[in-house]
Amino acid sequence: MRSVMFRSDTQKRTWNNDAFFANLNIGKESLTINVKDPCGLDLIKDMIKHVDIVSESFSASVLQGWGLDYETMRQINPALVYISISGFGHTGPHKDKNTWGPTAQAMSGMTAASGVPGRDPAGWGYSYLDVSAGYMGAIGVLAAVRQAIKTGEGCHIDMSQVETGLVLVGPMLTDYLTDGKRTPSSYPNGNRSLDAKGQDAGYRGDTAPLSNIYPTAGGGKDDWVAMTVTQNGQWQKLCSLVADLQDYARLDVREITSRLCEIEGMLKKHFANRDKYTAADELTNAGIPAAPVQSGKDRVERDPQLKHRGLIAQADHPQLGKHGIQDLPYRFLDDGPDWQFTSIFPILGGNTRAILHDILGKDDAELEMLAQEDVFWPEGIPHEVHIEKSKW
Amino acid sequence: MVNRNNCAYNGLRVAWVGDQFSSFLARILHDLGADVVQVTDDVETTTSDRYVRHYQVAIPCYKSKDLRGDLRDKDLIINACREGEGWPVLNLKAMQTLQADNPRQIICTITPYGMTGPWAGRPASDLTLLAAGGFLGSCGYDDGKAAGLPIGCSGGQSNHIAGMVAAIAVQAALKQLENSPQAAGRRLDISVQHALSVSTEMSIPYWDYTHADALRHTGRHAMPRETPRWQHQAADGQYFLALPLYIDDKRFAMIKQWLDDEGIPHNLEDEKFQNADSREEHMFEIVDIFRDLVETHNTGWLFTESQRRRMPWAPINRADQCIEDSHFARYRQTVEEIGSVRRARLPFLITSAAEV
Repeated sequence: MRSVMFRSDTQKRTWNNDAFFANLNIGKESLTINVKDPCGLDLIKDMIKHVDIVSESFSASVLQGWGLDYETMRQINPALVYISISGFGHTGPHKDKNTWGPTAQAMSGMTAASGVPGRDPAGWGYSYLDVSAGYMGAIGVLAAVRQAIKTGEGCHIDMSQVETGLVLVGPMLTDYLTDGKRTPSSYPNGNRSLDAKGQDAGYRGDTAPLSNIYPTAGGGKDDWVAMTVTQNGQWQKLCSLVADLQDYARLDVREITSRLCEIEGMLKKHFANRDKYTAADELTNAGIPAAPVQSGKDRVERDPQLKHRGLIAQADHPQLGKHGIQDLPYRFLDDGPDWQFTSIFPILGGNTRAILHDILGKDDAELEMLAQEDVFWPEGIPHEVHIEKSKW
Repeated sequence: MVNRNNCAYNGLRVAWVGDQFSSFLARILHDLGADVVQVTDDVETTTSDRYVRHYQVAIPCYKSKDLRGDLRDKDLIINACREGEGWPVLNLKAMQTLQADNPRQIICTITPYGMTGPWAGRPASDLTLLAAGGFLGSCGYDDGKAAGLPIGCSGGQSNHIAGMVAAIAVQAALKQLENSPQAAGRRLDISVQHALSVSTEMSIPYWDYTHADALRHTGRHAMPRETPRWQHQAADGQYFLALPLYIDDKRFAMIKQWLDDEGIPHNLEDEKFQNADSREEHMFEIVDIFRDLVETHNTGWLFTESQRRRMPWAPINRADQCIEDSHFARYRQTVEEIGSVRRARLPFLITSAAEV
């Protein structure tokens, strides 16, 4: 993760100036301990006495291999909340299986739940379950800490990315578990909400007879507008906006599916000469849900709403200088203080001595001795490694 | 009720008005022990039974004749929009009134784009928010008949992302209140589009840090450059993920041995594949060999044998196939039952021997 994506103006690439890593880890300090050294392991156990949470995302047996299974940690600190986030969780026959985000997405059904009939799944253009398992982990940990404060009793949250996917795949799984109704063979159905028989195939929370994306002017990969028509009022507005649809205004919104092919043909013709932002403006001004398909560039450069919300904030990175990070997505309708990231970035081992001094009371002589004995950093491993090539 | 163990928020009184992009937050809070009730006015809800049972099975709903009175004493209000609307049920004035009645009450407003700004108040659907929030910018096809087609994931991810992002914020706001006995409850302004936009992993960083826009690729990460395929159709007809990432020397040696054992012809002994960097440059050729392996075997066998070699490969299941796997069906507490409804439980179990 420390060698994933560097800023284009970064000349000497190292473990400590990866732009993407910094984006994900703002607000954190860095403590390095050599766990293969018995003194290092003792330091970690001493730290466990003083912390509320231990969080890790190794494979199921790694911490156990270090002698840090939950029972050992609980003996040290009964109120500790330990969260492990792994592919399959720490129990069951698949617990030792090797997973990345895409593996968990494939396994859980998240990948298969996206695409057009008759094709391979369109899947996900990124590791959605890396992001969302992080969110779920944060929710679980916050609740567990609250519970531990009330009871004095911590717990082990054994979180599985695949199980996160099974929740996020939505009502389709509940349909199967409750009624035995398997995913229909025509599923998934592209961007539509309903399939050809008018059945809910999108599980998107709406059963819109007209919901799709249409190409707009420009012809670029993201020159599309998305639109959803659920209600009669929206349909009437659409018919008044699109000249070719005026004769269709007599249709009830539920009758759209029977004429979908010709209606969508007219919509494609209508949007073909419009910029995607103009098209979305016209539709939303008429009360019809619509939006441009936006790339990363669009959201940073063109989207006036995200600019207004403050999508990117500037922070001071010790090696990158001013560095843009994706800000917390929280805004308020009151006069209280905003929530902001602390402008701290984890430089490997940069806070080791300060943390051990502040939390464990280690003095300078003790810290120096531990450093000399390679407890903070294994012998022979350089502190800064030049990265020739980033992974992404 | 749902999970005896998840009881951190026992006693927290939550009212939920509006329904769009907010039912997952209501479910999360309920499943963590909060007393959540859905309060409606005279407008008929359009939510179908399928969604009600999935998100709201244990959440009571009642029609209010006195909204202000019914909401006054709650600790938290989830203030969302009705379907097709861009503004929440409780407007700013109504929120001010409630805050005056109960200054420590938290109000979490969830709208498509937030309460201020040029797009505030726009109506939205799951699909249009996946477009505006960047999901469609990264996901879709790059080949065949559907080449260039953005595809929005199904399942209601706008609701899910909004729910998760809001649940974190609500818990932080509750913690602030607990730490400050005199503090006022916060009025959170959650924008579903903003929540989605910070949940697209590398798409924004690619542009912000390298000025390159990611290209969508079928079934794999969007990247600014072409990449080899990850998914292939196995002999049993099911698709299989053969992830060609992080193939270090040890894994590479095991793959070669595996191919030899199966009699799959290959040229992986060629010098150009032996160094990790040059191997990466020739990944398209390696993936062609992976495809040959996948196409001639069934997914179950491929899963077992690839994982035995520490490869992060897996079948591309439907969710109903996954849940039948004994790992989940027998060994994990993946499924919960509430009355006649069976559903996947939230992926964390906060155990407690003590009463909260």
